[in-house]
Amino acid sequence: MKLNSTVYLYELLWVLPSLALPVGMFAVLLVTTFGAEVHLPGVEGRVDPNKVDSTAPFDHPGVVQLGPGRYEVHMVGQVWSFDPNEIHLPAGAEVTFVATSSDVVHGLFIPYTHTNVMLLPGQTSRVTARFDQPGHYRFFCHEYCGLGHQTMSGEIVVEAQ
Amino acid sequence: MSNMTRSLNGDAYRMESRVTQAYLLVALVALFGGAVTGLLQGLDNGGIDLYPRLAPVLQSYYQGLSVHGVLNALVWTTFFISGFLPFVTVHSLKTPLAGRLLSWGAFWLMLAGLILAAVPLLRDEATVLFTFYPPMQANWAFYVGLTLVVVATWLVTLNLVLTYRTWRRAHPTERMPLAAFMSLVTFVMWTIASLGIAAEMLFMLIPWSLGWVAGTDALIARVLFWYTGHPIVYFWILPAYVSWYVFVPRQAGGHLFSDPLARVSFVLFLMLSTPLGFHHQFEDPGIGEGWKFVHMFITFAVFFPSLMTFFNVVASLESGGRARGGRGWVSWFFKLPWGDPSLACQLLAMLTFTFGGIGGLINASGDLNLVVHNTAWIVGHLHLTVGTAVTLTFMGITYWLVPVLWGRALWSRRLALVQAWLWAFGMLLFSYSLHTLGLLGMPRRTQISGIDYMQPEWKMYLPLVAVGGTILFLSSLLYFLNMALTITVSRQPAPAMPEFAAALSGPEDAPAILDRWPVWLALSTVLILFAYGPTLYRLLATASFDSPGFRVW
Repeated sequence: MKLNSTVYLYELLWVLPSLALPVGMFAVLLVTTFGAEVHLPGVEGRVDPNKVDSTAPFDHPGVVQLGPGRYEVHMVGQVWSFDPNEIHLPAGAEVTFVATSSDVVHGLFIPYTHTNVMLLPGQTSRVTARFDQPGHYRFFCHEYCGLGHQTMSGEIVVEAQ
Repeated sequence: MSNMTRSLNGDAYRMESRVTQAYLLVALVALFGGAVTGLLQGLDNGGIDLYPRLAPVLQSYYQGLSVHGVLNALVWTTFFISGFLPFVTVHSLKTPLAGRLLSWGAFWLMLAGLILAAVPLLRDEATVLFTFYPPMQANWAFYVGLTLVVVATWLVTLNLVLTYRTWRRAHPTERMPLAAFMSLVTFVMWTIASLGIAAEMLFMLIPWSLGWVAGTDALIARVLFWYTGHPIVYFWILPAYVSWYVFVPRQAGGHLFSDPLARVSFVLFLMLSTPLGFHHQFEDPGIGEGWKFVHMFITFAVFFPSLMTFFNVVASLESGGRARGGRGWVSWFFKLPWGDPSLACQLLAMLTFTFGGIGGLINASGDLNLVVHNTAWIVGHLHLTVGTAVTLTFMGITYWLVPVLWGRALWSRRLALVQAWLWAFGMLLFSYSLHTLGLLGMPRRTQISGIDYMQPEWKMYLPLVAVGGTILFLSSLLYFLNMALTITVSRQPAPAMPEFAAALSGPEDAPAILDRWPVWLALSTVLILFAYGPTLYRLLATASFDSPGFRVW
C-alpha cells in the first residue's frame, strides 16, 4: 500500500503539468490568432477547375491595386508555372493572394512571410502578406506536382518608394 | 535468459510463429528497398543526382521518392505490426489465434495487395508519392492493391477480436493482460481510422482511375486521406509503445511502473487518435478556421497520453537502472544494460522521440505551422518519428524476435550495437539539417538538384543531409547483414523471448471501466462525428466531382 501511494503521488506530480502544457499552448495560439491576427486559410468558395481561365478573377491573372498600399494578386497555379510569375510591388504593400489551381494540387510558399497555402483544383485560396523591406522574394510550389515540380517558381520584386 | 530453447517451432503456437515469420520477411525486404531509394534522395540533396544512371529501373527522382515512401512508411510498418502484435497477443493471452485460415488468409491478401500495388509503382505508373493526392492519377492497380492491404489489416483485427473472445470465455473474471489489451486497442483504433482511406479508395479513386466516373474532388479526397493519415502514425508508434511498456522494463532489469496508467494512455489513444486530421490541412482552403482549431485542440489533447507514456516508461527504466546499482537523479540511466542491442536500439529510439514529440507540438500549432508546412522541416520530423522512434524500435524488437522465431542466436551482438549507434548518429545529422533547411524555407518533396531558386543559406546544410543519409544507409546494411546471417548461418541456439514485465502498480489497481469497450468505442464515434461531421457534410453537399485525372510524370 505504501508503494502504491508513492506511485500515485509521482503520477499526480506528472499528470498536472502534462495537462497544463497543452492547455497553455492552446491559449497562446488563441492569442496569436485573435491578438496578432495570424490566420489560417478558410472557406472562400468553389471554382470549376475546368473553367478557371473563364472564371473571374482568374480569367485575368495579375496584380490589381485596391487602394493606397493595398493590392490583390489573382494567381493561377498550373503544371509547372505560376501565372503571374513576376510581381512588382512598392515597399509597404499589403497584398492579398487570391489563387487556385487549374490542374493538380500545387502550393504557394513565400519563405519568411505568412504566405504558405495550398492551391487545390476546385477551391479558392486567399492569404494576405505585407512586404515592408525592398528586395527580391522568391516564391515556389511546395507540393509535388509532377516531373517539373522543382522548376515551378516565381519572384516578387519589392521596390523602394 | 538462461532458459535456452532451440526453436519455437515445436511449441503450442507453431502456426502463429510461422505467420509472424512470413510478415517479417516481407517487412525486411520492404525496408531494404526503402533504404536503397532513401540513399538516392539523400545524395540528391547533396547535389549528386544518380537517377540518370538508374534508368530504366527508376525513371525519376519522384519515382524513387514514391517507392521510398510506400515501402518504408506503408509496407515495412504495416507488415511488421501485423506480424508482431498478434504474436504478442498470443503469448500474452496464452491462447492460439482464433483462425488458421484467417491468419494465413490475411497474410496472403496483404501480400497480393502489395504486389498489385508494386507493379504500377515499379513501372512508373504510380509516381504519385505515398500520399497519392488526386487529381494526379495513378494506374488503378495501385489503388486497388493498397486497398487490399488495408482490408487485410481488418482481417488481423477480426482475428485478434475472436482470439480475445475465446480467451474471455475461458477467463470470465480475469483482467485482460496488458500486452494483449494494448495490441487489441492498436488494431481497433486503426480499423476505425482506416475507414477514411477506404472510403477515398472505394468511392473516389478506384472508380475514377478505372474510368467509371469522370471526375473527382481534390479537397474531399484530402479530408478522407488525412482522416486516416494522422492516426496511421499512431498505428505505427503504438506497437513501439507496446514494446516499451511490456518488454523494455524487463529487458532493462526493472518493472513496469504503472499498469493502470498504461491502460489509461491507450484508451485515450483509442479515442483521440482520429478526430484531428485537419492539422495536416491547416493551409488548405475550403475548411473553416474554427474547425481547424477544434482539430488543433484535440491534437494537443492526444499529446497528454504521450506524456503519460514518457513518464511511465522512464520511471520503469529508472527501476531497472536502480536495481542495477544506479544512484542519483540521472546516473541510473547509464547503468542500464546498454550492451543489449535490443535495448540499446529502443533507448536511442526513445531519446530521439523526445525531439520528435516537441517537433510534433510545433507542427500542431497553427501559427508555427505556417512557417514549417511542406518544408524540409516536416521530412526531418517524420524521420525522427516513424524513421527512428518506430523503425529503430522495430529493429530492436527484431534483435530478439528473429532469433526466437528462427531458433538461432543473433549472428553478432557487436555489429547490432554498432548499427544502433550509427542509426542514431546518422539521424541526428540528417534530421538536424532538414529541420534547419525547413526553417530556412526549403520545400520538401522537391528535386533540390534541379531547382532554380537555390538560396545561399541552404548550401552549407545540404551536404550534411547527404552525409547523414549515407550513414543511415550504412547502418541499414549492417542491419540486413546481421538479419540475413542470423536466419541462414547462425549456429548458436536462441535465447528465450523476453518475459513480460511485472508491474509495480498492477492491473488490480486499474479501474474496471477501462475494460468497458462499448463506452470507449461510443465516445470515439461521437468525437469523430463532432470533429468531421459538419465539414464533411458541407463539402459533400457542395461538391461537383469535376476534376479530371492527370498524369504529370
